[in-house]
Amino acid sequence: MHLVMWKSLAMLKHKKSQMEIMGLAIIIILMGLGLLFVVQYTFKKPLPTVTSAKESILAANFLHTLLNTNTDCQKLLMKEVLQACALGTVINCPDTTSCTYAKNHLKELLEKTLKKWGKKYDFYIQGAQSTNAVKVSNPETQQACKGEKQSKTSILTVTPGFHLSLVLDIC
Amino acid sequence: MHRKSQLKMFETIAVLIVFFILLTIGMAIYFTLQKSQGKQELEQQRQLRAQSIVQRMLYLPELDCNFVQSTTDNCFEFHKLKALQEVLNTPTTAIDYFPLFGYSTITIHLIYPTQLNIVLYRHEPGQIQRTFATQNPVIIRNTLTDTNAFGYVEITSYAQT
Repeated sequence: MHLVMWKSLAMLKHKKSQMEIMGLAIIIILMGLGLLFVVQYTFKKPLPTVTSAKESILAANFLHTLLNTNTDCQKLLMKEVLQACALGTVINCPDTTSCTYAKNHLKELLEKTLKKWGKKYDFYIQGAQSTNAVKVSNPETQQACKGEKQSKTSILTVTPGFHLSLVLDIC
Repeated sequence: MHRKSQLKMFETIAVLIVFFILLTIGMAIYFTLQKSQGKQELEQQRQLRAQSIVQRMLYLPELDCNFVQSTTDNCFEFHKLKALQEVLNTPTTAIDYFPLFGYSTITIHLIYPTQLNIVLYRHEPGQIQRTFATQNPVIIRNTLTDTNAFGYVEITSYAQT
């Protein structure tokens, strides 16, 4: 009698520990699944952003359009005004020098386009001392783009071997 | 003995309740993430669609600036623009351009030296959920005066309900 009772008690104990192990296994499986989702969302590559591609195209097209626009300064193209600014050539733009005219004209165009569309930008010209003044930013700080930006450069040849780099950063 | 088994039963029920609460929280987080990702993808698709209309517009042979078999990029001829505007004002012809531009409004803005807005194409759906505007700078060439003006093409595309 005692032996039968002892045996059934041992069986019950064994069954209980089996159940506990099953419970533990389920918890581990669920935790594993949770971890899998976390890993999936953490390491998933972000979708290629259309916005950055759009801004890159926008910057390139802005520079191209700008350089090929006729100004009201003797109907010269904007690139010719910038070339004159780089060389220090005197041309009669309305009431001002070619460099000041170029800066004012650029500012006007950028305000009527990129600023109006809510974009922040930096526009500057590298390659000549005189063109350093032609610098426009929105907001009007020293440098508007400090973090991520889309940058486009257009090379303008002034004379053989003398090039200007027009840079437009959209941020 | 009866009290002990009652206590055990309560313990099991409590464990199950906690388990299901955790499961529900996990599922809620998972579905919220999935939903936000879906929205992001939809937004990207809409932006891509608007951008593709811009690209089609920029290379439209009806408007390009051509001279001795060379074409200027990002350039529309002013007189071609006016002519196309007249053509697209005819409802029967505007339908021909629907497969190309879909539900959208295409406006050309001249901003320098003169200011002028030309609505080239307008096709709005019955119910609009959202609008997306995409702009791109273009040269507007006047072949009669041999001058280039600064302008931009604005494409407003619509998301329907």
